[in-house]
Amino acid sequence: MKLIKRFILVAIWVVIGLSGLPLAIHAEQSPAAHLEPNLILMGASYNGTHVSLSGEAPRDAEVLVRLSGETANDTFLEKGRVLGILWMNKEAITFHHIPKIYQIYSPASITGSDLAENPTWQKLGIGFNALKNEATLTPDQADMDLQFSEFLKLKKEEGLYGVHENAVAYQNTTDGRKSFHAELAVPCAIPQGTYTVTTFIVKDGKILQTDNQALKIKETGLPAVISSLAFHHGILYGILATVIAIAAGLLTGLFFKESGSH
Amino acid sequence: MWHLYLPIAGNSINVFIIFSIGGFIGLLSGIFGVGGGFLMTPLLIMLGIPPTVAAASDSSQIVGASTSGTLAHYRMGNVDFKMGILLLIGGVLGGTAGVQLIKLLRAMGNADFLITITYVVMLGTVGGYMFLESIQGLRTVKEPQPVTKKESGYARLVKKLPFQTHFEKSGIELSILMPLVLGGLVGVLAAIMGVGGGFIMVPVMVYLLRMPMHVVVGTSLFQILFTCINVTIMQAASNHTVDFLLALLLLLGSTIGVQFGAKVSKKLKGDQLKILLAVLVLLVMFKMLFSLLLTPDILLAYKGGH
Repeated sequence: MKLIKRFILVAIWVVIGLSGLPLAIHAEQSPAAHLEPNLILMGASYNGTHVSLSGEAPRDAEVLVRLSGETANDTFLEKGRVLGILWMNKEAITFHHIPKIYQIYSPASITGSDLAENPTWQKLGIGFNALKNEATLTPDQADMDLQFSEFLKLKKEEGLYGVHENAVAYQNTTDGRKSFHAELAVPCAIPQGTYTVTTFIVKDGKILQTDNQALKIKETGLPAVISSLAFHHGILYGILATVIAIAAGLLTGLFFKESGSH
Repeated sequence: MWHLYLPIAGNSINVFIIFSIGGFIGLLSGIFGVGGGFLMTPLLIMLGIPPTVAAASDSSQIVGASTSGTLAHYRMGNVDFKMGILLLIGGVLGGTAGVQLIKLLRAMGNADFLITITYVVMLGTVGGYMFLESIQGLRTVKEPQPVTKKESGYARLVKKLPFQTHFEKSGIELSILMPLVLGGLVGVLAAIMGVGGGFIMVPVMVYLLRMPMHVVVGTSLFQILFTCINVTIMQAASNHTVDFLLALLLLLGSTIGVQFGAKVSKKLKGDQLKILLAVLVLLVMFKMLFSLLLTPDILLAYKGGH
């Protein structure tokens, strides 16, 4: 009898253990967030779009979302004064390891200035300061603080960089968890490629979970045809552009001759 | 609604805005015989088109507008093909020399400073001179004598040059060397300043070649057509910066605008045309001067453009 009891107990533990195991793995590795859609097609009528991100997190944690992409180099001309009064483009200056787009979406409880000033967020590597720390400049004697703030102004004006406050909404669910939702704006001025939407689930200044979702942006239809022609058959494309322009000019001219003669 | 995604510019634009800008610049082009790049490029940049793409697509658009404009002016008998071709040959040679010169200047450093200052001084001098001269012309309507008297030394020199030939449409006698050399000089300047050069070419034809203003407008457009074909193909082949969709939308507007412009041009007197062009050139000069003097909002700029 004792043996049977022990066997049943062990069996129960094994069952609990086995069923608990995938659950634990699930909590650690399953995507914390779901991105919809994760493929954007840029056709002729494309004018930027939205993607929505949703998922679940512990009720006492915060969720931050970052839309970013592969880093590259970006060269600018620095404006400076000549002869003390004239503002002109002077030295070329290159930022290395700079993403094409960098958008942060934060819940109501975290503001843009929190991200910029609060050491907790800085330590986690989220926000423009973290970006600045990862970037390097050529020439290297250039003043990074000054140049980066000008760079940020330029990128924010273009709508490629930004912090969107109160953009992650929560809703409590059962068992001490909550669901989150964010609408991410994809500006039309980003080139095709694969971008990354990263969800940070943060509690007490520590990242509990990071989740990366790929967002693919691809040209299709007429834009794709024109791109491939322009980049792979440059001369032909140039000749076609002029021939069509001349034809359009002649046609309009003829049309006006007829309408003018009446 | 009514947005079109431009793959080369990498941005989406409102179809109507681009069409209207094209129409407006085309109108100016038809009236004055300038390409209008000095206005078009900054407008396109303001709409979020990268500077290099704005400049290259604009030149592609000017091909259409100047075809339409040349045709309109040709029907009115305002295109001096002989003069235009000679200026063009000079312009191509000058442009090639200018491109080499700019490389040399850049290697020496401070080139941008020299270029900008030359640009502003040039615009100021040309605009100012045209403005004053045409005001004088409007006052003394039928007496062009004072001007001829003042420049008789120049006129005598011109007559002494070899290879004199008659330009029927313009009704003038000139040495072939004149349009070749002047076209060359404008070509050098245009290449250095990165513009089409219409606003320099027009005053050169009026004051140095002594062509009648209406023939100047038509001939200038004819010449711009070939310059811009060359620029478009070069830019498309080497820099991939021509956005054909953008150019197409612009030229739908500009080919129509330029036709109306040609009609407006015909209705205006030579001096009225000159004074309006002078005001336009001076406005661009002041705009440039202000942008040089006022502290910019952002101390970084993308590379490329004017």
